[in-house]
Amino acid sequence: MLELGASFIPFEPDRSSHDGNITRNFFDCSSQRICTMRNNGALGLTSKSLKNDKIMNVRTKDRGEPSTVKFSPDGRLCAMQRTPTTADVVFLEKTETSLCLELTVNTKSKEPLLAVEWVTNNQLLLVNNHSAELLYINEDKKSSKLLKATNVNAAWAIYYAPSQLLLIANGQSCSYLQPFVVTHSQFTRMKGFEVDFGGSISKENFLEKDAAIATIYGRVYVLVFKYSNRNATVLDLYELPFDAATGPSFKHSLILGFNGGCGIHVIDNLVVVHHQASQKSLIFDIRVSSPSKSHSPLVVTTIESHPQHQPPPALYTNFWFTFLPDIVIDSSGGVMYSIRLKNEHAQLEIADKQTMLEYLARRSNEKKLFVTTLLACLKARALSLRQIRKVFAMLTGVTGKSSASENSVENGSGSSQKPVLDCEKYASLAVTQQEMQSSVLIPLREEVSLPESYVANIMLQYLRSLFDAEITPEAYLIEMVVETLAEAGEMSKLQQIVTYRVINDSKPLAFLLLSYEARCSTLFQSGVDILARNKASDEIVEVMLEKKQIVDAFRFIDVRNLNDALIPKVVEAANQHCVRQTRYAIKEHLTEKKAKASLYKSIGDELYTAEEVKGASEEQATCALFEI
Amino acid sequence: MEVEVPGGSEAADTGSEASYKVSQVEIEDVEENLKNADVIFEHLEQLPFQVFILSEFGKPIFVNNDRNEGEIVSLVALICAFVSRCQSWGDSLMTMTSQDNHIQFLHKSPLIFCVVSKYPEQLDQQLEVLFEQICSILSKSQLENVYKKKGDNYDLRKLLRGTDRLIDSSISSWRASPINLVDSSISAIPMNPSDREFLSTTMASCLGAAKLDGALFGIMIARRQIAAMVRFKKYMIHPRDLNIVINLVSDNTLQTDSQNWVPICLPRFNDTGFFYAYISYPWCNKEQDIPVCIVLLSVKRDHFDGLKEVRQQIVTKLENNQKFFVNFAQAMKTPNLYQISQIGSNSESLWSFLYLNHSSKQVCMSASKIPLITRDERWIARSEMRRSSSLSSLHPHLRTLFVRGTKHCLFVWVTDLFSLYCIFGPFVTATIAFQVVEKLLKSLKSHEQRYFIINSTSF
Repeated sequence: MLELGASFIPFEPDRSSHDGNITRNFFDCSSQRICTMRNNGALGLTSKSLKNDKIMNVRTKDRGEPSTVKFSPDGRLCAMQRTPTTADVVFLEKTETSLCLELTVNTKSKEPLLAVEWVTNNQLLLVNNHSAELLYINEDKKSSKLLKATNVNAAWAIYYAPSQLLLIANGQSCSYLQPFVVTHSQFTRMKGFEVDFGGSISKENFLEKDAAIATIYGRVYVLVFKYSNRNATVLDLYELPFDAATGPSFKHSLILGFNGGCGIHVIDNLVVVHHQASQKSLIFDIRVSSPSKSHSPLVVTTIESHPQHQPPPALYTNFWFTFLPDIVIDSSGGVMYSIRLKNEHAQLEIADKQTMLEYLARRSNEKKLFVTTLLACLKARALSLRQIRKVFAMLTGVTGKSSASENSVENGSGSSQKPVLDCEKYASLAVTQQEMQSSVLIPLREEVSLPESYVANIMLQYLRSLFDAEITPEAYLIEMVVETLAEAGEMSKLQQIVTYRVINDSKPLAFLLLSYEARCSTLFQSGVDILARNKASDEIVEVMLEKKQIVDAFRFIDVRNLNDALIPKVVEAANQHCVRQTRYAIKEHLTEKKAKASLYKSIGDELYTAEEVKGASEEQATCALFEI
Repeated sequence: MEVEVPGGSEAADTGSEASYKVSQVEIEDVEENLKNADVIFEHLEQLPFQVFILSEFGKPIFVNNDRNEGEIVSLVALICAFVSRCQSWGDSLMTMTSQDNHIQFLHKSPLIFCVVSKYPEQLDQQLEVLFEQICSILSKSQLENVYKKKGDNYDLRKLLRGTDRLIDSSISSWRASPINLVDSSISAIPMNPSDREFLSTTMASCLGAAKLDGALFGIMIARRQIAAMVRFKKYMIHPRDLNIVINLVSDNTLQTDSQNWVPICLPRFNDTGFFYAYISYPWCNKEQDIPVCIVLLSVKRDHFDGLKEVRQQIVTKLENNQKFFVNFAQAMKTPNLYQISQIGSNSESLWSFLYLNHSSKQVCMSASKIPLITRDERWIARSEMRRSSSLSSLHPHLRTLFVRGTKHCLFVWVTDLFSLYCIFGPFVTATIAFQVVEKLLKSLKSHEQRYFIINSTSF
């Protein structure tokens, strides 16, 4: 499920040759660039990145071997630390003839530097044991100026560029972490927190290499390895709040199940832990529901290399260096790789279909894969109705009411505190009703092998999820649900969703229901009810006439006080379908209502002959016996 | 709400009062071969009902169609088997229902009655009436004795010879009479109150003057309706018995100038003995043709001459009152039923009604009115009434009912004092219907002497 090297870039590996030439490589986490220095820059400084093809090639003075090399976001400046207490800013303007200009900066206290990081294109952050200082680098004047300084004890510091977050470790055993947000030339101190790193006699201090910062599902986490002598290593996730007032909290604990060296990646909101000894990679998804804070790996897999690498490179070697988010550097081969997820293999790797679908739904840019997988699962009837409901609820919950509130919580705006921390937003998968219909529901209906009632049930579940999320279903969706229910013969269900107004009234729906009367007579009444609610009186009269319910039609006209224009039509129908008794009653009724005589003259006056009337009266009066 | 109840409040007798000694007749035992007419089986299917009467031992006695004996025997045996089987379980078979056929059984030892009908209403009562009809011919005590004397295999048809048509017309009147919801009610022929008063007093005075010990009742019947009824002292005649008499005198074969002397048992009065009915149709001749029948009932078999005398006196007295007689003849020839238009305005929506006074057991029915004209139309309306009547007897708490049908509306109002069944046009509302009904009751009350016999005169 993991693939190495879909994108890669080669570089010159480290070496110290006999002729005294030394090649050293540095990786800058913040700008994701690998930097190759030959003879400390005197023979050239080359920086490359996987993200763009632009290769920077300059020469600098050889002023000793640097311990770190950091590039400004725009790549025009480079900061090197060549001595413990100072940093040199190199202006990477390409000059054919001369070497790059340099500027040496240091902190006020001249203490050894713990971290040198670019905050913006011209702001450099220096951290030493006692303070963190923000310098402004003037590119034109080649000068520096202290912008801001804050006093803080530091054992070590790591900087997370995407959120401009500085994390400083101090305290006994360095396990108290103090986050700062460096924005607008200011240090904003956030609530610090203690981490449990499993300290023991053999391991007294919490080390920089055991901590990492990553953005997962729109939240910033500090990832901390917790070692234990007895149990396997655990990766703890501490969630940083967006505002400065609340403290970070321990949220998740990923059970690795092994000891020993490993590397972390955070790819597409998944935490991937590579274990060198077992040559396995564990994929964790913290969104997979878990009864406790502990998570087991969702998938245990082995990295495969992209087929473009021939022969395939060795995997999980000692020469591998992993950097967040997805960088693998093979220092012996001199290649920088990226690792990517192959989600199309998820079907094979994740047994539980609901979990698998939820997994796919959470991946970015995998909508098409998700939809096709969902369709395949439904066609194969691999999901129970309950699971289907949950999947649908997840899909509609995104676009529905919850999205607003969830996003606000996710992005911190929901809290009363002003957010100070910023990070990459996580957008949940949104599948519109139209997409649902065209890509899933319609193909399901067309699948002849599936029982119609099953398809109907799926649609009802979808409808239900829309309702739960308070989304108005589109008319075409309702029409399809009604049709499918009717085809499936689920008339009672259809009746219920109409009766309880699950689906909105509309005239087309009413006529659709009327047309199903032959299959379920009660639907007829439902249809008429809808028409009545829509005040479609004329249509109701038409329907009644169609059904030859002429007396009812008249009663309806009376009750609704409809205009006389309908009367001739009803009278006409009465003449065609009604016995003379009814026609007489209609005529009498219209006379009584003082309706215009022209409206009902077609009934005629000669309904009963005088002879008949006389005969009947005689028979009745003399109590003549007769049988029918 | 106070409602005036038209039709009088004098309670009719409902129990049988057998204190008067009645005499016995010996019925001759005549052998005759029954005619086996050709039967059309399909005809039977089309009938709304089919009645079987048989003896407990499976001998057919009466079937209300001319059927081949061979055909009915098997059916009769089946009925007998059903009934006796249930009896052997210590139970009694009442009714069987299939989709649209309702079969009702009545076991009155020594006879078994069975009716098959499309209409389920009041079949049990119908069978009771048939039993009483047979009792009126034989009397209950004779019926019981006959099998003891003659043996189980005796063919009762020998005794009932010639009376099939009475049973037949009893069945028809039940089904086809426009009046009777149940045979325990009668209707009075509409007359001027003063004319009726004169008629009753004349009959009472003539009977009283004759001083015949044992002559108990005098009844004048026209068009299956009662014109006048007089009684001796406190003796009462039950409406069901009266209907047996009506059934008897409506028999066409009797309607001649001559006079008849017929023994008849009135089971509600006394089911062990016989009355003698002096029946005459005084004006049933070519010149006058007034379809009136005078029935004088006595318990003595030798009162024929005395009653003949009384009849002559009545006829003479009536004919002598010229003014009365003209009105009387007119009223008898073409009875003037209650016209719905009499109610007044807004009554057009009322099509037909039937009113039953519970205490006097008298009914009043509206004259026919457009649009209920053809037999079909009237039959449907009447079936509705019959159905709702059966419904209200099944559910005594049901007091008012308004049903909007596709062709008409039905309004039923039942109280302890009366029942009213109305057919309204389809567009009437319950409120309007109720208003019309209230007016109708008022109107009936103000004309009650015309449409009801309020006081039966005694002598």
